Amino acid sequence: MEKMKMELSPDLVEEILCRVPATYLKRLRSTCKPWNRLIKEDRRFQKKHFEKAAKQFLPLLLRNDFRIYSVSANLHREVKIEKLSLIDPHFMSEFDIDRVFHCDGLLLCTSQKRSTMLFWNPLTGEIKWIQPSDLFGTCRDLYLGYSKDNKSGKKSYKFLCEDVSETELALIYDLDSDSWKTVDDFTQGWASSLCDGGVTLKGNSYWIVTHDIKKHLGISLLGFDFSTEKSQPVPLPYQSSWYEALCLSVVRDEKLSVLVQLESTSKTEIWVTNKIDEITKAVSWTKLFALDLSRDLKLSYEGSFFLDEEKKVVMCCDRWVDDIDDDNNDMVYIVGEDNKVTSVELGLDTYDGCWPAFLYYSPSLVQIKRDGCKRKRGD
Amino acid sequence: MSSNMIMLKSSDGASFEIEEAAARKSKIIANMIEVECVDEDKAIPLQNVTGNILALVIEYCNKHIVDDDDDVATEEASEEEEEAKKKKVDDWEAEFMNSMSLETMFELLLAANYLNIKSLIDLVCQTIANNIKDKTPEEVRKIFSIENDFTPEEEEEIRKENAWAFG
Repeated sequence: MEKMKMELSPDLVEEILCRVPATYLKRLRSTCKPWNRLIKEDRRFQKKHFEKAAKQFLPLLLRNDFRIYSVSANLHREVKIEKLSLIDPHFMSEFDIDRVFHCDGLLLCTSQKRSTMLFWNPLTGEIKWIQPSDLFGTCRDLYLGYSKDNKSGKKSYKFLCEDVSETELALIYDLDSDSWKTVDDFTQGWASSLCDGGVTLKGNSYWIVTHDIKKHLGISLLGFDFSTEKSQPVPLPYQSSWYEALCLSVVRDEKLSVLVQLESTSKTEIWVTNKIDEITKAVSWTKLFALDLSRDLKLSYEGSFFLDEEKKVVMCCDRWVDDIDDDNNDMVYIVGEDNKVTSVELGLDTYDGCWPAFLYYSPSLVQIKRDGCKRKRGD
Repeated sequence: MSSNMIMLKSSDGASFEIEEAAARKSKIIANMIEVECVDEDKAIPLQNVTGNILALVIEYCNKHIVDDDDDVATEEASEEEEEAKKKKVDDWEAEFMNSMSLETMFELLLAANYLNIKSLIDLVCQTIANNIKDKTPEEVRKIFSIENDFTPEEEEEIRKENAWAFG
């Protein structure tokens, strides 16, 4: 008997495709129409893909030209930098991003120049503009995250906006309802963020703070839970009221990481937390490795970094300003446990562009436009 | 430990003896046992599974029945023990799938689906996913016997949409 050609049912094909990591799956859209529809439009499939496919963790870089770039380095530390275009349909030109935050493959981008903000999924190209609140003009710090429905597990993406003029007042934007609301007294005395914005881990936002009154508590992290709308201090590896450098990052959607330099003469240390549990949120720190960096490579509070925990390598960036020669440059540094530093000059055209910043990014097919207005399915 | 043995018969007539506990990994066979339509002397005929594939399914079930027994015995195992055990299973599964051709994987997936063995479906799907992720749409069409139903213009349009990001 002639052997039958193996054909899988659509269900089984779906079981396979939902396990292909996001950036690879995107390339398979042009296989055939049913696959294209599944990958691009099927919300149920996208949810399954988010749960089952291995996550990818990539560094993105915001540069002084207000554009976002993907950064990849091979084993020989040869760096490839590629621009991700975000076209602003109102102006038919590229959107000038000056701040960017990440959660679940979605980027929240702001442009102060145009007083606008938007959600962007760089993998699918989907964009949603956010109607600014009347108070937006005074909002400085943004913290992105989500609340989660206990029963259905459904996520509602949100961000918190702090009002600079009134430290106790803040606004929360809810993507599902496309609306703003105010929250009071969420910081419990912890305020004055020392870093430019925070990082998001498992829907909670974390950022660096000091206490307004109890100065002896030193510098801490503050974690904001979007489900309870309450914040909680999270201790850093050291209790100190001064750091030479202190930057915050996320590792593999599981842990927080900080780059710490206590004094100008001390080593730069990379610390990671345990896998933070969604319920208990208990945090303990472990030192991953220490770097003996030359003074030229000193990072400031403004610095940011991306950590590859397995390889024990960090990518960081900073601006190198030489007042005398007027020789300014944005730099990317790749440095590992062996202290070998690879530096890449990005160049710098203008002074007024934004400071270079690394961003942790995990590509996904998550749709920005939510279920809300769709007809309910009987399930 | 009870060692009730049952017989399975493949579509090409090969018979396999397997422990009932291992066979129960298949929801279909477990169901048959529950409703007692298993005659002790007769083999269960599996019309959709050939002998060489059934041998792989049985190898998988035998391996995992042992693991499930371990789970019950060491419920209080420490995190490290758990991790070591998981690594052992992962290593075995990697070895099991390694060197299997895509065609065999497809056949194994169909058999796992027919016999309703969830963990084997997961394993084979994950392995196929890893296998196709670096392939071009043209190569993937061949593997899945898919016709390209796009017009050249439509295909070009999608490729353009994909061009800039993470190529």
